[in-house]
Amino acid sequence: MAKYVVRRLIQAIPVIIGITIAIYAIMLLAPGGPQQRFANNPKITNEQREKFKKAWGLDQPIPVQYCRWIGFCDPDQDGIALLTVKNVPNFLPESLGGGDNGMIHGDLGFSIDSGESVGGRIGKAALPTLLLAGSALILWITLAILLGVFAALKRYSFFDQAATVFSYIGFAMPTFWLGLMLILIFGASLKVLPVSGMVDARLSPPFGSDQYWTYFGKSPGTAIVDIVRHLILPVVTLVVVSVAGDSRFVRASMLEALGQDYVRTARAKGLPNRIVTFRHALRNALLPVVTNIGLEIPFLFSGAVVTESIFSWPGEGRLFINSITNFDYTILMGILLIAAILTVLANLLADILYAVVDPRIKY
Amino acid sequence: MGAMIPPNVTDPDQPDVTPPEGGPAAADYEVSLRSLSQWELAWRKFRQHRLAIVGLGLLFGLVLAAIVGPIFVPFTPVPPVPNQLVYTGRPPFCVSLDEAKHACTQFGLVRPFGETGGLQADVFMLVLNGARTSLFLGFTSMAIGVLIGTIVGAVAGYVGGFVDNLLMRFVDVMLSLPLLFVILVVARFFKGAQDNVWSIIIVFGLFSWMGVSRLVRSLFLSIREREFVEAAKAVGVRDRRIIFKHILPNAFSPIVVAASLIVGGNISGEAFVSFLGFGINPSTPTWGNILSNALAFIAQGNWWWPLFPGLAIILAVLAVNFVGDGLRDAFDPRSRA
Amino acid sequence: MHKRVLGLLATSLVVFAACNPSAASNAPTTPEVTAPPATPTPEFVAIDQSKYAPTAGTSGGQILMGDWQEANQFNPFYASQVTEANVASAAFAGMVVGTYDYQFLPDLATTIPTTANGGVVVPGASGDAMTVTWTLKPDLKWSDGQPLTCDDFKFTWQWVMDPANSGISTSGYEDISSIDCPSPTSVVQHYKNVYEGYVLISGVLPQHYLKDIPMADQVKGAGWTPEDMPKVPTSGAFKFESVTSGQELRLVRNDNYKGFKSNTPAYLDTLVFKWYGDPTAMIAGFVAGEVDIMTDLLAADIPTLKAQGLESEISAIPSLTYEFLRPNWADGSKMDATTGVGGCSRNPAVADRGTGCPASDPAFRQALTFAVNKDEINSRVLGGLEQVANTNVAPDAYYFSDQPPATFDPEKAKSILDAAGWTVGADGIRAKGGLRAKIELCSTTRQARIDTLKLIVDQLKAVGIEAIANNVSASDIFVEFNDGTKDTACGLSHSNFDVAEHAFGVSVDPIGNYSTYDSKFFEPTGGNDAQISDPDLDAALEKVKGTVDFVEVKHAMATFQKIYIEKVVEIPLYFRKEVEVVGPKLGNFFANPTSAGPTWNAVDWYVKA
Repeated sequence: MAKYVVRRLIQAIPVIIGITIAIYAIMLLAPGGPQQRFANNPKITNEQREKFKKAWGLDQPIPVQYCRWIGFCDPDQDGIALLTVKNVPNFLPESLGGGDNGMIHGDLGFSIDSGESVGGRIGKAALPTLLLAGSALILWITLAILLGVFAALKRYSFFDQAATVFSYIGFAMPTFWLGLMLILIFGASLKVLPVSGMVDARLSPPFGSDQYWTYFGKSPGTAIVDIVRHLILPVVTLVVVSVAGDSRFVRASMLEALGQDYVRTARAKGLPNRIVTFRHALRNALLPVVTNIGLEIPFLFSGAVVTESIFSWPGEGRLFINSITNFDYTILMGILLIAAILTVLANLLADILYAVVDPRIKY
Repeated sequence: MGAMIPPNVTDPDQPDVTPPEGGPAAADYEVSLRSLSQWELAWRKFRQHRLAIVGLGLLFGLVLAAIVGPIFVPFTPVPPVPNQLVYTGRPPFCVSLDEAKHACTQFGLVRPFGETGGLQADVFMLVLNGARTSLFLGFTSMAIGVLIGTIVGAVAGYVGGFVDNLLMRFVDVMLSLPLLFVILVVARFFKGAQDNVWSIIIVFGLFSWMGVSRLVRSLFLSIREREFVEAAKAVGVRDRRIIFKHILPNAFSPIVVAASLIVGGNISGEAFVSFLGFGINPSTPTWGNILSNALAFIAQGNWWWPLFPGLAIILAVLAVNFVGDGLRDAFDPRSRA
Repeated sequence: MHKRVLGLLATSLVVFAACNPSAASNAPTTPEVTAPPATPTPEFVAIDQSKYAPTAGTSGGQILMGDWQEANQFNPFYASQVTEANVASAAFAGMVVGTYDYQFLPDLATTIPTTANGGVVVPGASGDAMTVTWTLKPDLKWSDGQPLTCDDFKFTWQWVMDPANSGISTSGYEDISSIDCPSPTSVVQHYKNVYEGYVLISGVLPQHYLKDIPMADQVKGAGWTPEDMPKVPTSGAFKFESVTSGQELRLVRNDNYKGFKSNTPAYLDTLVFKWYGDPTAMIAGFVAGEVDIMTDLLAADIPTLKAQGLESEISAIPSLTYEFLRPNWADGSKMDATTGVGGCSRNPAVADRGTGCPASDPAFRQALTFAVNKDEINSRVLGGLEQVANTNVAPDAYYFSDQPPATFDPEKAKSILDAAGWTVGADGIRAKGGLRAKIELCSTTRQARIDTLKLIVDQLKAVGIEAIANNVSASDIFVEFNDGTKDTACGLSHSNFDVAEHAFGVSVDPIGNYSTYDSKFFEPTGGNDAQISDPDLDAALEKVKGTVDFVEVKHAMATFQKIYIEKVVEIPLYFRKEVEVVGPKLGNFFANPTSAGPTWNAVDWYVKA
C-alpha cells in the first residue's frame, strides 16, 4: 500500500500538468477575452486593443502562452523561447540566470483585472471560503448522518418517506432561488439578518485586513457575533441543497451495513440494539460516506459559486465567477490549478479508503 | 454486494407449506416450484415500494404532458397583446389586476400558472413546452454519462493495472475542467445553430460520467476477486461474458441510483447554467431558463413565475429518484419483497 | 435668414431654461422683430453656465454607496465600467468638472478658456493651429502634500501618448504638439489642428508617483493595485484609505482639495463603496439599511424598487446611453473576401434570400423606421419605463436639435416599399429583383433585447419583411476585428449582420460621433461597423471636429441630426434611464447623466441630521 501511495503521488505531477494544459487550452479556445472590456467603446481603436493584448501576451499562440505560464518560455521574447536572452534555459531558478515567471518559479502571474498578484488575491479569498464552506460542510454532514441513520433505522416509515421527499426537494431546489428568497424574506421584509458580506461595514473594518484583526483583538465577542450573523443565511442555503444527496447515501450505506451477516450475528449473540447499530453498523457504514464526502471537498473550493455571489461573500467562488465574467485568465488558472490539485489528492485519498474499507481490493 | 442469485428460488409469496403433526407423506402435498424470473421478482418488489409507484406515476404524467401538451397548448414566441398591460405580470386566474392595491379585481378560468412579466406570456404554456427540452436533456445526458461511465469503469476495474491507472487519471482531468468554458468551446462546434440544445446535452453528458465510472470501477475491483469469478475464469468463460453476464448485473442497482441522481442533477444544473447566462438559447424554453428569467421579477412580487417551473423541476427530480430507489430495492437481492 | 437666427437663439434659450425648471420663469423673452436688423444678433452658446447651487453642508460623517459591479481599475484613464468612473470622479479632479446640466465648471482651473475670453486662440501664436491656455488655481496640492503644477499636466499628456501605453483613448491628446509651462500655474497646450473637444483634455495624473514605474508594468496594473492605493496621490475630493477586493473600497477626505463651488474640502469624513454580487441582493441590502445610496440600477428595476417601498427615493434621469437599431448600409459589392468587411449577414438562415443586402436600400431603411412601433416596445418590454428617443443626441445637450418624432405607420412603410420596387410575393414577403426581403436581426442575450427582437420580427412581418432574430453572446457580436472571422455570429466588426440592436453611450461632447459615422473609418481603421458613407454627413462631422466656435458646432450637429434621421443612419429606440436610489441621510445629491456620474459633486455631499 505504501508503495502504491508513493507511486500515485509521483504520478500526480504529470497528471496535474496534463490538467493544466487541458484547462489552459479550453480557456483560450473559448470565444472572448479580457479585451472584451473595450467592446462597444468606439473611442478605443483597434490598434490600442492590439497593444493591450500584446502587453498581456495574448497575441501569442496558445502553446506559447502556456509555456510562459508554466515557466519554460521567456515572456519577453516572441514565440517558444526556451532560452533567456542570456542563453540560459528559462526554467532554471532566477539566481542561476533563468527567468522569474511561471509556475516553476512559484509565480502565478498578476490579475488582468486589478494587477494584484494571483497568489495574493486567491489567498485573500481563501479564508472566507473556508469559513463558509467549512461551516456548511460540518452542518450538512451532521444533518445528513442523522437523517440518513434514522431513515435507515425506520425504513419505510413515515419519517423515512417524509425525509426522502424533503431531501429531494432540497436537492432539486436551485441555490440561487433559495438564496434570493431568504434574502428577501429575512433581509428586506423581516430585517432580522444581514444579506451581504461578512461584516457590518458601518461598524467593522473589512474582513481580513490588518485593521480588522486589530478590531477583532479588541472586541472578539462582537466580531464573532457579526460574522456568525452574516453566515447564517448563506450556510442555510448551502445546507438545504446539499443534505439530500449525502443523506440518501448515508441511508443506503447504513442499510447495507445493517444487512450484513455480522450484524445478525451480533444481534443473535444478544447485544443491545443500540450498540449493534451505533457501535458496529454505523462505523462501517460511515467509511464509504467519508470517502464520498472526501470527493466533494474539491468542489468546496470553487463551489458555492452562486451562493457566494448572491450573498456578496468575498470568497473563491465569487472570485471565480467575476473572473469568468471579465475573462481574467491569470486568476482563473490559479483557481483551477488549486482545484485540480485538490481533486487529484481527494481521489487518491478516496482510493486509499476504498482499499481500507474493502480488503478484497488489490491495487 | 450481492452474490449471484441461484437459478431456482422458491417464490416467497407462496404460502408457507408446513407439514402437519404426525408427518405427512411427501406426495400428499403439491408445491408449485415455478421460479420467478429476475424481472418478475423485481417488478413484484417494485410494486410494493409505495414511493416508487408514486414516482412512476409522476414520471409517466410528466412525460405524457411533455409529449402531448404542446399539441394542445402550442408555444408562441411572442404572446398576443394582453387585454391589460401589467409589467410585473398578472397572478394565476386573474383577468384584471388593480395595480395600486395589488389585488385582483376580476377572476377567471385563465392562466392557471399566471403570467410572466415583460411580454406577459402564459407560464402554463411555457412550463408545458419546456418539459420536452428539460426532460429530454435530463435523460439523454444521463444516458451518455452512464454509457461512457460504465464502459470506462468496467474496463478500468476489470483489467486493472496500468489501464486502470490511465483511465482514472483521465477521470481526474475531466473532474478538473471548468464546465462553463467547455460549454463555450463546444458551442463553437455547433456554429450557426440558433438552437444549442444538443451542445448543452453533450456537455452535460461529458460531465456526468465520472461519478458512474468510479462507482462501477470500485464494484468491479471488489467483485473480480470473488470466488465465483475465479471459478468462471478457471472454467474458461470468456472475459466479455464474465463482464456482461456476471458482474454487470450486480452493478445494476448502484448504477440505477447514480443515474437517477444524474437526471435530477442535470435538470437542476441546466437551471444553474441558464442563471449564469451560459444556458440553452432562450428561443427554446426550458424549465431552467424560465426559472432564471423569473428571478429579476421576484422582488416585484411575482411569485408564480418562478414557482411553477421550480415545482416542475422538483417533481421531475422526485419522480426520477423515487423510481430509482424502487429499482434499486427491486434488483437488490438482499432486499425483502 | 435672420428669423432663423432668432429662432435658433430662442431655441437655445428654451433649451437652457428646460435644464433648470426653476429658471424657466426667469427666461427672458425675445421680442418679435418685424424688420430684419442691419446686422444679425450674434448667437451665443455657453458651456460654463451651470445652475448648480448646493446647500451648505455639515462636516463629518460616513456615507455608504452600494454597487453590484466591483471597481478594479483605479487609474481614471483606464476606467472601463460605470463603477470605476464613479470612484475616479470622487477621487480625481481635472481642470473642469462636467455638471449635471450638461455644462462645465472650472475645478482645478480658475476659468474655462474659450474663444470669447481669449483662453483659446485660433490660429495659435507660435504657428500651431490652436493654442489653449489654462490657468490653475494657486497653491494646488496632491493628497500627499506634493504641489500640483503644470508639470503634472505635461506629464499626463506624455503618459497618454506613450507608445508603450495601451487600452486608452488618445483622441485629443494626439492632436497636441507640445505643452509649455511658463509658470507652475499656467498650462499652454499647442494643438496641431483645431480640436473641438479641448475642454475634455484636462485630466491629470501624479507625476512624482508614476514617473519611476516603467510603463510596461503600469499597463499591467503596477502602482494601482489594492495594496498600492493608499499611497496613490489624488487630486480630488477624496483619497484612498483602503481597497479590499471583493468587499469594499474606503475613501477618506482629501484635505488638500477645495470644492469647485464650496471652496472647502469635502464635508464627509469617509465615503465607502460596498460591492454586492447581485442587483436584487443590493436592493434588499438597501432596504435592510446596509447602504445609504445605490447606483448602477436600470429602469427595469423601478418596479422592484416600488414594490420594496422605495418609490420616494428613486432618482431616474435619462442617461447618455441609448438603445438603437443599427442597419448595415453596405450592399456587398465591395466586400473583402477574407475579412467580410463591406458585406452583410452571412448567416445560413438568411442565405436563401439571394445575393444582395436589403438594408443597403435607403427606401428599405426608411420603411423600417415606420414599421417599428417604439411605443409598443417601450410599453410591453420595458413597462413604459424608458424614454422613447428620436435622435441619438441627449435632449438637454446644447447642440440638440429636435427632429420630427418617428411615427408608427405601417401603411406608410408599405407604400415606401411598394414605390421602391419591393413587391409582395405569394407568401406575403416582399422581393425586389430576385432579392427576398429577409434580414437577420442581431443582438445580445439580455432578456429585454430578446423580447424586443421578438416584437420587431412581428412588426416587420406585418409590412412584408421576414426577419430572423439571432441573440448571441457579447463576445461574438462585439468581437474585436483581429479576434473574429467573417463567420463570427453577428460579428459587427466583420459586417456579418443586417440590422443589429445594441446601445451606445454618447459623450456630452459631439466629437465622439466622428469615428463611428465618418466614411473614412471602416474596419479595421475605425469603428464605422455599419459602413455609413454619406458625403454630407462626412462634411458635417469634419466641420464639428475642426472648429471651436460652439455656435458652428451646433449648426453642424443640426445638419448631422437631420441626415441621421432622413437617411436612417440609425433607428434610435430609447434612452436608458440612469437610476439611483438615495436614502434620506444623503444631502446634496445631484444625478449626473454624463460620464462624471453621481459622484461628480461628492465634495458637497453631507450627512443630513
